[in-house]
Amino acid sequence: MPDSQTFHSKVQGKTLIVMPSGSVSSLAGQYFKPELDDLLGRLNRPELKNVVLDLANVSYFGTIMLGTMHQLWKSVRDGGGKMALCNVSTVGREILRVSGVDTIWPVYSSPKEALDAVEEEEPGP
Amino acid sequence: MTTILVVDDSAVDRRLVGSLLQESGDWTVEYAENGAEALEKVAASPPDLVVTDLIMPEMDGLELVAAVRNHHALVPIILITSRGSEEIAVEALQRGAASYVSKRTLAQKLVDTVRLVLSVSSRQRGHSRLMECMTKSDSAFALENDSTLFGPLVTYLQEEISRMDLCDETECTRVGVALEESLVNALYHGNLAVDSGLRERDEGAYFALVETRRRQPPYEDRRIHVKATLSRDEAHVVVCDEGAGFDPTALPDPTDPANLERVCGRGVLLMRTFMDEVVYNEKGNAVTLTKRRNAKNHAVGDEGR
Repeated sequence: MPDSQTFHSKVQGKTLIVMPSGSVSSLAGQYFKPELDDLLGRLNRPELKNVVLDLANVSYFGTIMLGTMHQLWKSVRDGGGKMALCNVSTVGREILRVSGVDTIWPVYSSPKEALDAVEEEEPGP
Repeated sequence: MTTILVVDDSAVDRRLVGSLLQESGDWTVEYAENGAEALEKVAASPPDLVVTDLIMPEMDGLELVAAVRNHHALVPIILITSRGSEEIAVEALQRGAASYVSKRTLAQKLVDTVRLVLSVSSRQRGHSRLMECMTKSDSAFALENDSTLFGPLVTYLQEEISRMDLCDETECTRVGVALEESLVNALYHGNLAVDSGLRERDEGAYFALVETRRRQPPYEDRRIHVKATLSRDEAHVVVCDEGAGFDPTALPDPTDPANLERVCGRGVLLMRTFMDEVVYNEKGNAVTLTKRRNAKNHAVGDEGR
Protein backbone atom coordinates (compact mmCIF):
# COMPACT_ATOMS: atom_id res chain seq x y z
CA MET A 1 0.00 0.00 0.00
CA PRO A 2 1.44 3.42 -0.91
CA ASP A 3 2.49 5.35 2.19
CA SER A 4 2.61 8.90 0.88
CA GLN A 5 -0.21 11.38 0.77
CA THR A 6 -1.98 11.60 -2.59
CA PHE A 7 -4.16 14.67 -2.05
CA HIS A 8 -2.71 17.88 -0.69
CA SER A 9 -5.21 20.62 0.03
CA LYS A 10 -5.61 24.18 1.27
CA VAL A 11 -8.53 26.49 1.84
CA GLN A 12 -8.96 29.83 0.15
CA GLY A 13 -12.18 31.74 0.80
CA LYS A 14 -15.03 29.27 0.47
CA THR A 15 -13.00 26.99 -1.74
CA LEU A 16 -11.03 23.84 -1.03
CA ILE A 17 -8.07 23.68 -3.42
CA VAL A 18 -7.04 20.07 -3.93
CA MET A 19 -3.73 19.06 -5.49
CA PRO A 20 -3.31 15.38 -6.28
CA SER A 21 0.28 14.29 -6.71
CA GLY A 22 2.24 11.20 -7.51
CA SER A 23 1.03 8.22 -9.45
CA VAL A 24 -2.72 8.75 -9.12
CA SER A 25 -3.13 7.09 -12.47
CA SER A 26 -2.16 3.68 -11.21
CA LEU A 27 -3.37 3.85 -7.63
CA ALA A 28 -6.38 1.78 -6.83
CA GLY A 29 -9.24 3.72 -5.33
CA GLN A 30 -9.21 1.82 -2.07
CA TYR A 31 -5.77 3.17 -1.26
CA PHE A 32 -6.74 6.81 -1.38
CA LYS A 33 -10.33 6.34 -0.22
CA PRO A 34 -9.50 7.46 3.36
CA GLU A 35 -8.04 10.68 1.97
CA LEU A 36 -11.06 11.18 -0.25
CA ASP A 37 -13.38 10.60 2.70
CA ASP A 38 -11.48 13.24 4.63
CA LEU A 39 -11.88 15.73 1.77
CA LEU A 40 -15.58 14.93 1.49
CA GLY A 41 -15.95 15.41 5.24
CA ARG A 42 -14.35 18.85 5.00
CA LEU A 43 -16.70 19.78 2.15
CA ASN A 44 -19.63 19.07 4.46
CA ARG A 45 -18.63 22.03 6.62
CA PRO A 46 -20.73 25.11 5.98
CA GLU A 47 -17.73 27.39 5.45
CA LEU A 48 -16.59 25.38 2.43
CA LYS A 49 -18.60 25.41 -0.75
CA ASN A 50 -16.40 24.95 -3.82
CA VAL A 51 -13.52 22.82 -5.07
CA VAL A 52 -10.65 23.69 -7.36
CA LEU A 53 -8.77 20.64 -8.50
CA ASP A 54 -5.21 21.63 -9.42
CA LEU A 55 -3.70 18.88 -11.58
CA ALA A 56 -0.26 20.47 -12.00
CA ASN A 57 1.49 17.43 -10.53
CA VAL A 58 -0.45 14.84 -12.47
CA SER A 59 0.60 14.15 -16.05
CA TYR A 60 -2.35 11.89 -16.69
CA PHE A 61 -5.05 9.94 -14.94
CA GLY A 62 -7.57 7.23 -15.64
CA THR A 63 -11.03 6.19 -14.64
CA ILE A 64 -10.08 5.65 -10.99
CA MET A 65 -9.19 9.32 -10.71
CA LEU A 66 -12.24 10.32 -12.77
CA GLY A 67 -14.35 8.43 -10.21
CA THR A 68 -12.74 10.44 -7.42
CA MET A 69 -13.44 13.69 -9.27
CA HIS A 70 -17.05 12.59 -9.62
CA GLN A 71 -17.30 12.07 -5.86
CA LEU A 72 -15.96 15.54 -5.15
CA TRP A 73 -18.17 17.12 -7.79
CA LYS A 74 -21.35 15.45 -6.50
CA SER A 75 -20.59 16.60 -2.97
CA VAL A 76 -19.95 20.18 -4.14
CA ARG A 77 -23.00 20.24 -6.38
CA ASP A 78 -25.27 18.91 -3.63
CA GLY A 79 -24.08 21.76 -1.42
CA GLY A 80 -24.84 24.35 -4.08
CA GLY A 81 -21.17 24.97 -4.95
CA LYS A 82 -19.01 24.69 -8.03
CA MET A 83 -16.01 22.66 -9.08
CA ALA A 84 -13.34 23.71 -11.56
CA LEU A 85 -10.09 22.21 -12.78
CA CYS A 86 -6.78 23.85 -13.62
CA ASN A 87 -3.27 23.02 -14.81
CA VAL A 88 -4.58 20.04 -16.79
CA SER A 89 -2.02 18.40 -19.09
CA THR A 90 -2.67 17.86 -22.78
CA VAL A 91 -3.47 14.20 -22.29
CA GLY A 92 -5.52 15.05 -19.20
CA ARG A 93 -7.68 17.45 -21.25
CA GLU A 94 -8.09 14.74 -23.86
CA ILE A 95 -9.25 12.28 -21.22
CA LEU A 96 -11.79 14.79 -19.91
CA ARG A 97 -13.03 15.53 -23.43
CA VAL A 98 -13.28 11.89 -24.49
CA SER A 99 -15.11 11.05 -21.29
CA GLY A 100 -17.53 13.89 -21.92
CA VAL A 101 -16.99 15.41 -18.48
CA ASP A 102 -15.34 18.59 -19.75
CA THR A 103 -18.88 19.83 -20.27
CA ILE A 104 -19.62 19.66 -16.55
CA TRP A 105 -16.23 20.54 -15.08
CA PRO A 106 -14.80 23.76 -16.52
CA VAL A 107 -11.05 23.75 -17.09
CA TYR A 108 -8.91 26.85 -16.49
CA SER A 109 -5.25 27.39 -17.16
CA SER A 110 -4.32 28.77 -13.74
CA PRO A 111 -5.45 28.21 -10.14
CA LYS A 112 -6.33 31.91 -9.88
CA GLU A 113 -8.68 31.76 -12.86
CA ALA A 114 -10.30 28.63 -11.50
CA LEU A 115 -10.63 30.15 -8.03
CA ASP A 116 -12.13 33.37 -9.38
CA ALA A 117 -14.61 31.34 -11.42
CA VAL A 118 -15.90 29.20 -8.54
CA GLU A 119 -15.91 32.03 -6.02
CA GLU A 120 -17.91 34.29 -8.34
CA GLU A 121 -21.36 34.81 -6.90
CA GLU A 122 -24.29 33.83 -9.07
CA PRO A 123 -26.34 36.89 -10.11
CA GLY A 124 -29.44 37.25 -7.99
CA PRO A 125 -32.98 36.79 -9.38
CA MET B 1 39.76 10.38 -25.16
CA THR B 2 37.65 10.67 -22.02
CA THR B 3 36.54 14.22 -21.31
CA ILE B 4 35.74 15.51 -17.83
CA LEU B 5 34.03 18.85 -17.28
CA VAL B 6 35.01 20.54 -14.00
CA VAL B 7 32.53 23.13 -12.74
CA ASP B 8 33.45 25.55 -9.96
CA ASP B 9 33.14 29.31 -9.53
CA SER B 10 36.43 29.43 -7.63
CA ALA B 11 39.42 29.55 -10.00
CA VAL B 12 41.67 28.10 -7.29
CA ASP B 13 39.40 25.10 -6.71
CA ARG B 14 38.95 24.57 -10.46
CA ARG B 15 42.71 24.39 -10.87
CA LEU B 16 43.07 22.05 -7.90
CA VAL B 17 40.47 19.60 -9.19
CA GLY B 18 41.74 19.88 -12.75
CA SER B 19 45.32 19.18 -11.79
CA LEU B 20 44.35 16.16 -9.68
CA LEU B 21 42.52 14.70 -12.66
CA GLN B 22 45.15 15.54 -15.26
CA GLU B 23 48.01 14.15 -13.18
CA SER B 24 46.27 10.90 -12.42
CA GLY B 25 44.56 9.75 -15.57
CA ASP B 26 44.40 9.78 -19.30
CA TRP B 27 41.66 12.36 -19.29
CA THR B 28 41.02 15.67 -21.03
CA VAL B 29 39.75 18.27 -18.58
CA GLU B 30 37.50 21.17 -19.52
CA TYR B 31 36.17 23.90 -17.25
CA ALA B 32 33.03 25.92 -16.55
CA GLU B 33 32.55 28.66 -13.94
CA ASN B 34 28.95 27.91 -13.04
CA GLY B 35 26.03 25.58 -13.70
CA ALA B 36 24.59 27.60 -16.55
CA GLU B 37 27.87 27.65 -18.45
CA ALA B 38 28.32 23.94 -17.70
CA LEU B 39 24.91 23.14 -19.10
CA GLU B 40 25.75 25.01 -22.31
CA LYS B 41 28.96 23.02 -22.67
CA VAL B 42 27.20 19.73 -21.96
CA ALA B 43 24.57 20.56 -24.59
CA ALA B 44 27.20 21.55 -27.17
CA SER B 45 29.39 18.51 -26.63
CA PRO B 46 28.49 16.06 -23.84
CA PRO B 47 31.52 15.14 -21.72
CA ASP B 48 31.99 11.67 -20.28
CA LEU B 49 31.68 13.00 -16.75
CA VAL B 50 30.93 16.22 -14.86
CA VAL B 51 32.65 17.07 -11.57
CA THR B 52 30.93 20.03 -9.95
CA ASP B 53 31.07 22.15 -6.85
CA LEU B 54 27.80 22.27 -4.92
CA ILE B 55 27.49 25.98 -4.17
CA MET B 56 27.79 28.31 -7.14
CA PRO B 57 26.08 31.45 -8.43
CA GLU B 58 23.44 31.34 -11.21
CA MET B 59 22.87 27.59 -11.20
CA ASP B 60 24.15 25.54 -8.27
CA GLY B 61 25.29 21.93 -8.27
CA LEU B 62 21.86 20.54 -7.34
CA GLU B 63 20.14 22.39 -10.18
CA LEU B 64 22.87 21.27 -12.55
CA VAL B 65 22.33 17.63 -11.51
CA ALA B 66 18.61 17.90 -12.22
CA ALA B 67 19.11 19.64 -15.57
CA VAL B 68 21.73 17.19 -16.80
CA ARG B 69 19.64 14.20 -15.69
CA ASN B 70 16.68 15.54 -17.63
CA HIS B 71 18.46 16.19 -20.89
CA HIS B 72 21.64 14.10 -20.85
CA ALA B 73 20.82 11.13 -18.68
CA LEU B 74 23.95 9.20 -19.60
CA VAL B 75 26.35 11.91 -18.41
CA PRO B 76 27.23 11.10 -14.78
CA ILE B 77 27.92 13.84 -12.22
CA ILE B 78 30.16 13.81 -9.17
CA LEU B 79 29.54 16.52 -6.59
CA ILE B 80 32.21 18.12 -4.46
CA THR B 81 30.78 18.89 -1.06
CA SER B 82 32.01 21.00 1.80
CA ARG B 83 31.65 20.40 5.52
CA GLY B 84 28.05 20.52 6.65
CA SER B 85 26.51 19.81 3.26
CA GLU B 86 25.99 16.08 3.76
CA GLU B 87 22.21 16.43 3.65
CA ILE B 88 22.38 18.28 0.37
CA ALA B 89 24.67 15.57 -0.96
CA VAL B 90 22.00 12.98 -0.15
CA GLU B 91 19.46 15.10 -2.00
CA ALA B 92 21.84 15.31 -4.95
CA LEU B 93 22.13 11.53 -5.05
CA GLN B 94 18.35 11.28 -4.96
CA ARG B 95 18.18 13.67 -7.91
CA GLY B 96 20.55 11.47 -9.86
CA ALA B 97 24.13 12.43 -9.03
CA ALA B 98 26.47 9.46 -9.45
CA SER B 99 28.57 10.13 -6.35
CA TYR B 100 30.13 12.83 -4.18
CA VAL B 101 33.51 13.61 -2.69
CA SER B 102 34.09 15.98 0.20
CA LYS B 103 36.60 18.80 -0.25
CA ARG B 104 38.55 17.51 2.74
CA THR B 105 39.27 14.18 1.03
CA LEU B 106 39.59 15.42 -2.53
CA ALA B 107 43.26 14.45 -2.92
CA GLN B 108 42.68 10.95 -1.56
CA LYS B 109 39.35 10.05 -3.11
CA LEU B 110 38.56 12.08 -6.22
CA VAL B 111 40.53 10.08 -8.78
CA ASP B 112 39.31 6.68 -7.50
CA THR B 113 35.71 7.93 -7.47
CA VAL B 114 36.07 9.26 -11.01
CA ARG B 115 37.48 5.91 -12.22
CA LEU B 116 34.64 3.99 -10.58
CA VAL B 117 31.93 6.25 -11.96
CA LEU B 118 33.45 6.21 -15.46
CA SER B 119 33.57 2.42 -15.38
CA VAL B 120 29.89 2.11 -14.42
CA SER B 121 28.93 4.79 -16.92
CA SER B 122 30.78 3.03 -19.72
CA ARG B 123 28.79 -0.17 -19.07
CA GLN B 124 25.54 1.83 -19.03
CA ARG B 125 26.38 3.50 -22.33
CA GLY B 126 27.16 0.12 -23.87
CA HIS B 127 23.88 -1.28 -22.62
CA SER B 128 22.00 1.75 -23.89
CA ARG B 129 23.60 1.44 -27.34
CA LEU B 130 22.80 -2.26 -27.44
CA MET B 131 19.18 -1.64 -26.50
CA GLU B 132 18.92 0.86 -29.35
CA CYS B 133 19.73 -2.05 -31.66
CA MET B 134 16.88 -4.21 -30.36
CA THR B 135 14.27 -4.86 -33.04
CA LYS B 136 11.82 -7.08 -31.18
CA SER B 137 11.01 -7.98 -27.61
CA ASP B 138 8.58 -10.39 -26.00
CA SER B 139 7.70 -10.27 -22.34
CA ALA B 140 5.10 -11.99 -20.19
CA PHE B 141 3.87 -11.30 -16.67
CA ALA B 142 1.47 -13.05 -14.30
CA LEU B 143 0.33 -10.39 -11.82
CA GLU B 144 -1.32 -10.96 -8.49
CA ASN B 145 -4.44 -8.95 -7.80
CA ASP B 146 -2.41 -5.99 -6.63
CA SER B 147 -2.94 -2.67 -8.38
CA THR B 148 0.33 -1.24 -7.06
CA LEU B 149 2.05 -3.41 -9.68
CA PHE B 150 0.26 -1.60 -12.50
CA GLY B 151 2.36 1.56 -12.36
CA PRO B 152 5.71 -0.24 -12.60
CA LEU B 153 4.44 -2.52 -15.37
CA VAL B 154 3.06 0.35 -17.42
CA THR B 155 6.27 2.34 -16.93
CA TYR B 156 8.30 -0.65 -18.08
CA LEU B 157 6.17 -1.09 -21.20
CA GLN B 158 6.27 2.65 -21.94
CA GLU B 159 10.07 2.59 -21.73
CA GLU B 160 10.21 -0.39 -24.08
CA ILE B 161 7.85 1.31 -26.52
CA SER B 162 9.97 4.47 -26.41
CA ARG B 163 13.09 2.40 -26.98
CA MET B 164 11.48 0.92 -30.07
CA ASP B 165 10.84 4.50 -31.16
CA LEU B 166 7.21 3.65 -31.85
CA CYS B 167 5.77 6.94 -30.69
CA ASP B 168 6.58 10.28 -29.10
CA GLU B 169 6.25 11.13 -25.43
CA THR B 170 2.62 12.27 -25.63
CA GLU B 171 1.57 9.17 -27.54
CA CYS B 172 3.43 7.08 -25.00
CA THR B 173 1.42 8.73 -22.24
CA ARG B 174 -1.80 7.87 -24.10
CA VAL B 175 -0.66 4.26 -24.40
CA GLY B 176 -0.02 4.28 -20.66
CA VAL B 177 -3.58 5.41 -19.96
CA ALA B 178 -4.98 2.64 -22.17
CA LEU B 179 -2.78 -0.03 -20.57
CA GLU B 180 -3.76 1.03 -17.07
CA GLU B 181 -7.43 0.95 -17.94
CA SER B 182 -7.10 -2.57 -19.30
CA LEU B 183 -5.34 -3.65 -16.10
CA VAL B 184 -7.90 -1.95 -13.86
CA ASN B 185 -10.72 -3.71 -15.72
CA ALA B 186 -8.94 -7.07 -15.50
CA LEU B 187 -8.50 -6.68 -11.75
CA TYR B 188 -11.80 -5.23 -10.56
CA HIS B 189 -14.31 -6.51 -13.06
CA GLY B 190 -12.42 -9.59 -14.29
CA ASN B 191 -10.59 -11.41 -11.50
CA LEU B 192 -12.51 -9.93 -8.56
CA ALA B 193 -15.85 -9.83 -10.43
CA VAL B 194 -16.91 -6.64 -8.68
CA ASP B 195 -19.75 -4.87 -10.46
CA SER B 196 -19.17 -1.21 -11.28
CA GLY B 197 -22.85 -0.63 -10.48
CA LEU B 198 -21.98 -1.16 -6.80
CA ARG B 199 -19.55 1.74 -6.96
CA GLU B 200 -22.35 3.94 -8.28
CA ARG B 201 -24.49 3.04 -5.29
CA ASP B 202 -21.94 2.77 -2.49
CA GLU B 203 -18.26 3.38 -3.08
CA GLY B 204 -17.30 2.24 0.41
CA ALA B 205 -19.03 -1.11 -0.09
CA TYR B 206 -17.41 -1.42 -3.51
CA PHE B 207 -13.85 -1.07 -2.21
CA ALA B 208 -14.63 -3.19 0.84
CA LEU B 209 -15.73 -6.00 -1.47
CA VAL B 210 -12.55 -5.53 -3.52
CA GLU B 211 -10.41 -5.96 -0.41
CA THR B 212 -12.40 -8.97 0.77
CA ARG B 213 -12.22 -10.79 -2.53
CA ARG B 214 -8.49 -10.17 -2.91
CA ARG B 215 -8.08 -12.56 0.04
CA GLN B 216 -10.91 -14.96 -0.71
CA PRO B 217 -11.03 -18.05 -2.93
CA PRO B 218 -11.52 -18.44 -5.84
CA TYR B 219 -10.64 -14.78 -6.51
CA GLU B 220 -7.33 -14.68 -4.63
CA ASP B 221 -5.74 -17.33 -6.83
CA ARG B 222 -6.57 -15.59 -10.07
CA ARG B 223 -3.86 -13.81 -11.99
CA ILE B 224 -3.70 -11.09 -14.61
CA HIS B 225 -1.64 -12.33 -17.54
CA VAL B 226 0.08 -9.72 -19.65
CA LYS B 227 1.95 -10.53 -22.84
CA ALA B 228 3.72 -7.78 -24.71
CA THR B 229 5.21 -8.15 -28.18
CA LEU B 230 7.01 -5.03 -29.27
CA SER B 231 8.77 -4.36 -32.55
CA ARG B 232 9.91 -1.30 -34.48
CA ASP B 233 6.56 -1.31 -36.29
CA GLU B 234 3.99 -2.00 -33.62
CA ALA B 235 3.23 -2.96 -30.05
CA HIS B 236 0.75 -5.67 -29.12
CA VAL B 237 -0.20 -6.05 -25.49
CA VAL B 238 -2.61 -8.78 -24.43
CA VAL B 239 -4.19 -8.39 -20.99
CA CYS B 240 -6.07 -11.48 -19.88
CA ASP B 241 -7.86 -12.09 -16.61
CA GLU B 242 -9.23 -15.33 -15.17
CA GLY B 243 -12.75 -14.06 -14.66
CA ALA B 244 -15.96 -14.92 -16.43
CA GLY B 245 -15.52 -12.33 -19.17
CA PHE B 246 -18.03 -9.75 -20.37
CA ASP B 247 -19.72 -8.45 -23.49
CA PRO B 248 -17.95 -5.21 -24.47
CA THR B 249 -20.70 -4.38 -26.97
CA ALA B 250 -23.20 -4.15 -24.11
CA LEU B 251 -21.42 -1.23 -22.38
CA PRO B 252 -23.51 1.94 -22.13
CA ASP B 253 -22.27 5.05 -23.89
CA PRO B 254 -20.55 7.03 -21.12
CA THR B 255 -20.70 10.25 -23.14
CA ASP B 256 -24.48 10.09 -23.41
CA PRO B 257 -25.69 13.06 -21.32
CA ALA B 258 -27.86 10.64 -19.39
CA ASN B 259 -24.71 8.83 -18.24
CA LEU B 260 -22.47 11.82 -17.48
CA GLU B 261 -23.13 11.61 -13.77
CA ARG B 262 -22.19 7.97 -13.60
CA VAL B 263 -18.81 7.22 -12.13
CA CYS B 264 -17.94 4.21 -14.25
CA GLY B 265 -17.95 2.94 -17.80
CA ARG B 266 -15.20 5.00 -19.40
CA GLY B 267 -12.25 2.62 -19.33
CA VAL B 268 -12.94 0.85 -22.62
CA LEU B 269 -13.67 4.20 -24.25
CA LEU B 270 -10.26 5.54 -23.22
CA MET B 271 -8.58 2.35 -24.42
CA ARG B 272 -10.25 2.63 -27.82
CA THR B 273 -9.38 6.31 -28.09
CA PHE B 274 -5.71 6.00 -27.25
CA MET B 275 -4.79 2.78 -29.04
CA ASP B 276 -4.98 2.02 -32.75
CA GLU B 277 -6.86 -1.20 -32.21
CA VAL B 278 -8.63 -2.78 -29.25
CA VAL B 279 -9.97 -6.30 -29.72
CA TYR B 280 -11.66 -8.51 -27.12
CA ASN B 281 -11.73 -12.28 -27.38
CA GLU B 282 -15.07 -14.03 -27.64
CA LYS B 283 -15.30 -14.69 -23.90
CA GLY B 284 -14.50 -11.07 -23.09
CA ASN B 285 -11.73 -11.80 -20.58
CA ALA B 286 -8.77 -10.93 -22.82
CA VAL B 287 -8.13 -7.71 -24.67
CA THR B 288 -5.44 -7.08 -27.25
CA LEU B 289 -4.27 -3.49 -27.50
CA THR B 290 -2.28 -2.47 -30.56
CA LYS B 291 -0.23 0.64 -31.19
CA ARG B 292 1.35 1.12 -34.59
CA ARG B 293 4.20 3.39 -35.55
CA ASN B 294 2.96 6.75 -36.80
CA ALA B 295 -0.62 5.50 -36.99
CA LYS B 296 -3.20 8.12 -36.17
CA ASN B 297 -5.57 7.46 -33.33
CA HIS B 298 -8.96 6.27 -34.32
CA ALA B 299 -11.65 8.90 -34.24
CA VAL B 300 -13.97 8.63 -31.30
CA GLY B 301 -16.81 6.89 -33.04
CA ASP B 302 -17.31 3.62 -31.28
CA GLU B 303 -17.50 4.89 -27.74
CA GLY B 304 -20.84 3.27 -27.17
CA ARG B 305 -19.31 -0.18 -26.97
